[in-house]
Amino acid sequence: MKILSILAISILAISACKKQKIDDPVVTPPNENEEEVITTFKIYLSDTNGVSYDTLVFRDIDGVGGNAPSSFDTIQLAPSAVYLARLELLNESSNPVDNITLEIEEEANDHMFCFEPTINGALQVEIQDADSQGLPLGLQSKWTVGGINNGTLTIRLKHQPGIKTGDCSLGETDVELTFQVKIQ
Amino acid sequence: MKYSVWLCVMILSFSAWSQCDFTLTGKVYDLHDGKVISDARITLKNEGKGAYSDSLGYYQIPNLCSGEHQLVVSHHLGCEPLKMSFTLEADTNINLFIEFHLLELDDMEASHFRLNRNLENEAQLNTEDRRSLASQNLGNQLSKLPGVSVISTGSSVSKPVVRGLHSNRVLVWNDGVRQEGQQWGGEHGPEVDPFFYSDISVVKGPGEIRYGADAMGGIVRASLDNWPKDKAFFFNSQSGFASNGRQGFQSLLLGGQVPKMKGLKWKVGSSAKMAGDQQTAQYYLTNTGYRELNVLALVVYEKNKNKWQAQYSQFNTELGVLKASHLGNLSDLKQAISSDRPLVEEPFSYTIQSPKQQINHEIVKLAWDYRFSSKLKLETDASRQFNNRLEYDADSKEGEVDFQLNLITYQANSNLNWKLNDQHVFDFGFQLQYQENKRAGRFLVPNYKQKNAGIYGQWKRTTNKWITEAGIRMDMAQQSAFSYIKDSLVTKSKQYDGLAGNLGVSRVFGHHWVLKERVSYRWRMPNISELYSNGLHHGAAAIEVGNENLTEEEMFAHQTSAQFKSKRFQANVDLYQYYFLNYIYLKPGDVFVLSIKGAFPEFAYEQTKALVNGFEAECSYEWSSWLEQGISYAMVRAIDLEQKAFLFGIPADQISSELIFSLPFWESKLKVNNQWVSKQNRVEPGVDFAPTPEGYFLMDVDFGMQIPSRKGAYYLNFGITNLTNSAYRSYLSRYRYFADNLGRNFTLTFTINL
Repeated sequence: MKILSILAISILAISACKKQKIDDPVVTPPNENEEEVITTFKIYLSDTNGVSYDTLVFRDIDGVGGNAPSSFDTIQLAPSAVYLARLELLNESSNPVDNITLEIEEEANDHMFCFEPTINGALQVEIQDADSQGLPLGLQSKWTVGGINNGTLTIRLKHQPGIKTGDCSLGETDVELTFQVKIQ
Repeated sequence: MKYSVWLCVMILSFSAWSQCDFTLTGKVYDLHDGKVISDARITLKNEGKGAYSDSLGYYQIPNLCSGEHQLVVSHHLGCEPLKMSFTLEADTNINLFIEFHLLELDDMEASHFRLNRNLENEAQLNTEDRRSLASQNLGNQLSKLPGVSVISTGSSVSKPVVRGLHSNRVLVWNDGVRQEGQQWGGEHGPEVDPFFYSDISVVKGPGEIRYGADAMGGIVRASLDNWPKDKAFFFNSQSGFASNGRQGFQSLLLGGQVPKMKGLKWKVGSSAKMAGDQQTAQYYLTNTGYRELNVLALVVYEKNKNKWQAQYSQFNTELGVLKASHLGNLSDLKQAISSDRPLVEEPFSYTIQSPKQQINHEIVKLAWDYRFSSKLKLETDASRQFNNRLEYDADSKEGEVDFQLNLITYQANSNLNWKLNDQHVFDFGFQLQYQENKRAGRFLVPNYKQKNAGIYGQWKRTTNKWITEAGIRMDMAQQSAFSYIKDSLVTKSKQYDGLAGNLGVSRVFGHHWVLKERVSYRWRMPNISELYSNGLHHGAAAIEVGNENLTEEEMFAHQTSAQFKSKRFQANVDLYQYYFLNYIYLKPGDVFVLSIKGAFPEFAYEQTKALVNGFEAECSYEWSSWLEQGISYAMVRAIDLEQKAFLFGIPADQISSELIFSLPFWESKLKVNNQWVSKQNRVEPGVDFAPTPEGYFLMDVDFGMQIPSRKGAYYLNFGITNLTNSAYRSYLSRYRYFADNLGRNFTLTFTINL
């Protein structure tokens, strides 16, 4: 009997040594928005002299699901114009605001932006920047506009760790936004 | 005067009580392998008294007089009748070891074809099949039983599906402990290593209510409490290799009885597995390797009327998730579906990269049984389960966990078993559970505290021909879920309660037929994911939204079984109908939700009236002493009665056939298994992302032999699964959008039982 009780106690004692326990007590869970979320996507458009033209914003503060996005701007472009575009990605749900653009620049070899205009050829996008391997990145691009037209521009951010070749179909899609485009 | 009359009465009653009120009890075992034998007939010659051994081999003959008796043990399946004489002076326990003549009968006895009078629709994995399936996880082993399928995530995770029901509708009863892990998740399988368990079975449909009111689909039962008889020490080893995944495994189990302390038994075991990328017929499944390391320690001490048990077990696994299944958004999924091959393909490797999962499950259990008398027995146990789950995303940096879940569950069970007489048996008991869930990282389900309590009573009446059973149970559950909404703590409390019950009848006709009928009522509380999930679901490119207003899911079930057994031929048909009120399911929404990753369909948890019905039919025929054949057919039909639509995720019809050739040397057997699974055509448009996969045919071959030896048993099993290297996709595979199921697999298993 004695042996058994010692055995029982030692078994319970062993079980007390837990690995991988979450320290927070159950009543106060950690901040729900700890995850890496891109809430805001901005396109800064300027003319070829660097003069600011417009800023387009997509904003969905609570991330995927939940409330609908609060902003999803339509891109308005002048016909026959040439613009320089700069992309910015933020996590505005965290305090202070997290600038994810910097991370993408650091990991340029694993990321690529892909632009897919569907506007009867009236918009051509040419990526201006590159990663350390010489492959396109896409945070900076040149937009050449044609005649009056309506259509869309789909911008995707592809995460391609170790598999980047310049091919847009590879990897995981972290951002996929289809902006309405009006050339008038 | 009054006093002497009283004394007389006392003396008379006392002597009457002592003369013919002795009870003979014991267990019936198979002489060869020590397994318990049910339905053995134990009679006392020329006395007109007898009993049948129950499903645990236990028999009891009360009201016996002191003196000499002649006992005869026989079995309707055919065995050498055992005769013995004994003298009875007090309540006596005699264990009986009977010998079966034919080896084939022995195997059939151990398989699910035993003429089973019990009302629980239990199918057991037999020892031989378990040897040939040793490299597989629990779910895959169970899927060999008709009516049981698996939701598979590669071959590392398999979730048992019983007649189309799974997750919180199927209970895993791990040697007296309700297995509590994150079983609400489709890619979460039971953390149970089949090697350690002496008996593994599946109860199809609602089982006895003592196990739980929520075990609607079925119960996976695994028991540890079995030691080889009359052996001071035993040693079991199982090692093997499987070519698919280049898997190696080694399992050890040793134990015995301590000679100096009579009544002290112990068991200690450890199991390790390692596999690399698995492969389909045409390509490797990149990042599907896994590791497993499990331990078990069990000590049992029996003395006088007490039995104490202490148990400790750990199940640890790290498994890779198919790299090609990790998606960013719906466009990625559509691209994957339209591709013949997985979008990520790398050469074979043992390395497990992200995405991956790590699960640790620990059980500590203490049990105490007290036998008041041959008629009254109390069983109690208390346990603590700790489940830790870590999941790493594909883009997780080294060591960065995407989310973590800790689940701590305390259980206390008690059961009073009262044998009123040789016919009536009662079981009364309660089950208590306290559970805490803690999360860290990405939100999947909230933190919660949950309390469950259940109290039940069961009655069973057994006669030579009839078994009648009734049970009733009452449960209450209280759950508080915690979350933060803009820095303030929000607590959501829910309360659920309900009754459960069953009524059943089983009747033996002559020596060959058994008919059973059973009606049950079960209910379950909605699980944490059904209530509160909110977000993108891994690999499904859909947003899942929980529903806080879900009420108890209720089920009325009826099952009819017919069994026929003759010397060469056996057949079994199980028909069932489950009517659900408030069946909880995931319903696709009408609109697409816009997000930074594009548009996603939104699925929300709803409740409806549903009907699940079907049947399993099996038969086997012994062509000769060296050839046996079995065929089984399983069919499930499930509909949403309100929407007049098919329920999602129901297994398609399946036919299995087995040929067993017994060869004249080394007790060897060649088994050829064929499986035809049809295409699941009962699907609603707009619910799935891809059309259901085509039907397929699989062939498995296993050659098992026993190496002759003077001491102990040595077995060698050589098998080939998916012999034809068929390229197929199972409807229940979570990888079916991305890749095929596994291709050909050569397995070699070496088992030592000393």
